[in-house]
Amino acid sequence: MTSYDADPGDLDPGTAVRASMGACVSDIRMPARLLDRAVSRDRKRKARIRLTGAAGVIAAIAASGVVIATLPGRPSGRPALARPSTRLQALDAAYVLKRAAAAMVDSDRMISVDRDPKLIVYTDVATQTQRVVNTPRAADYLQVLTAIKGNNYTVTDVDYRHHVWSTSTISSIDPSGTPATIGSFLPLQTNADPAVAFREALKAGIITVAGHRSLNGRDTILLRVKASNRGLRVNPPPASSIWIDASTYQVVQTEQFIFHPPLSCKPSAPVCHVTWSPAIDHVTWLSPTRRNLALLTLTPPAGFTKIPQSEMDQKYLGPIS
Amino acid sequence: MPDGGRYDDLAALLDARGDALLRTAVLLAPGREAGEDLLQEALERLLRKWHKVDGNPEGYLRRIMYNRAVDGWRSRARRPEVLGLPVEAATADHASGLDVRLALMAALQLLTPRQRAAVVARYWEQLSEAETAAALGCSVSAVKAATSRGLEALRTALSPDMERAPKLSTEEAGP
Repeated sequence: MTSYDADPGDLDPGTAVRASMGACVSDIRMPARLLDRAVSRDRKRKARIRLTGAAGVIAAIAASGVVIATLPGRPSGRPALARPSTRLQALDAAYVLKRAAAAMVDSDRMISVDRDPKLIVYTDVATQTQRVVNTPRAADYLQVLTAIKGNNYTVTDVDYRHHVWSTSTISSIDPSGTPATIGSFLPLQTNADPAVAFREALKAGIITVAGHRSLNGRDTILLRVKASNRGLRVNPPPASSIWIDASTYQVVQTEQFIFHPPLSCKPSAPVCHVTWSPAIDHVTWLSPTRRNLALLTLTPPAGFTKIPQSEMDQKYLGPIS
Repeated sequence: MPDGGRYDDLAALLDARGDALLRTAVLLAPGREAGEDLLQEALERLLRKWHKVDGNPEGYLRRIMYNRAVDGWRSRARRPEVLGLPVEAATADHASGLDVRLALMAALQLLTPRQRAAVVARYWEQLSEAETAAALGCSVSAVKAATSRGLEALRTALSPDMERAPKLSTEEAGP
């Protein structure tokens, strides 16, 4: 295993690659507690979902790796939009997506604020520091701060209902709560360059540019992204909608379709019929000023009791289900 | 431990196959820490869809790992890659196995996620083209193209190191 006496002429490229790979990972061993960490994080994720009241929906979506969709029609609850202006039709879709890709790259240095009716997520895209706040009106008021420290993530949970807090260090972060970007709507795109990925998606008909829309008085461009039910035995979702600012090309609002798993579905049934419901997120992009960066801090109030993370998980965030 | 059944099943799987799964994840990610993250995330996702698992969960776990690896560009946006050495530094000295490892990890970083997944599936896991296509959710022709380009890129980046790669016995090679 340590000899280097192989004659290059003896090795075809595949064998050589395989040998290099073997040498590369031969000493890799499974770390202890990796499964425990996965279980703990799964439990925590479920607790957070329950807190935000989006249970089955997000679970079902996350399970599929698929997300959202649009709307051929106009489901109730959708924000009122002005009729498209005529100049919208003249939009060059390729140009719009090129600018949107550049804006997405620019957003790497900004702070995103994603809001839905029950949750606010602040994300410093550059450092990946993230603060999640469920609204104080919720029965369980919880804030979570995730920050990179070295090669690990430090997570601080503050439970305002029970006046307790905890902190822990983990090696990876919860995959939920990704800042809303166009890329996050393209789960099957693989190109590392957003401009190329968007161009490919446009060519494949996955993304379409619907045109200008006035959104609460703001000039936006509406994109629609086909959603897939790949991996799910459910009827296909409608397409997702993404509104981007007409001047900055940053995402300002998204609409995805989510479903609650059916109460029962025969294992033999080829498709389980579900009802897709719209979920709207509002997005604001902030410059990384000192004031805005302060939004990415979380200090437990005086008088709150620090408890072990395991106790927070088990007692306050709920058992694994 | 919570939810004994699935936890015990997964614990047994990892006892038996954890090292092999992690090695594949390290090559797919690529990198030690990124590989652990990939495997841990795959485990989390498997827990979420446990009710769908019918039979050996290893296949599901591998499929999730490959999907997440191919879907990597969004994940990379969330977490900066940490690479031991840049390619130039890693390939500058071919005197030790450590250099080969660093060079391979660096070279794997140069591939697109799909190329990397195809190369790992074909040459590390020794899956057939059809099996690789099934794992990656793409056509056989796409696998051929990704493998060919990935291999060519690796050969270009690694040619001095690959020529020095140790011969592996059947027992040593593979996941």
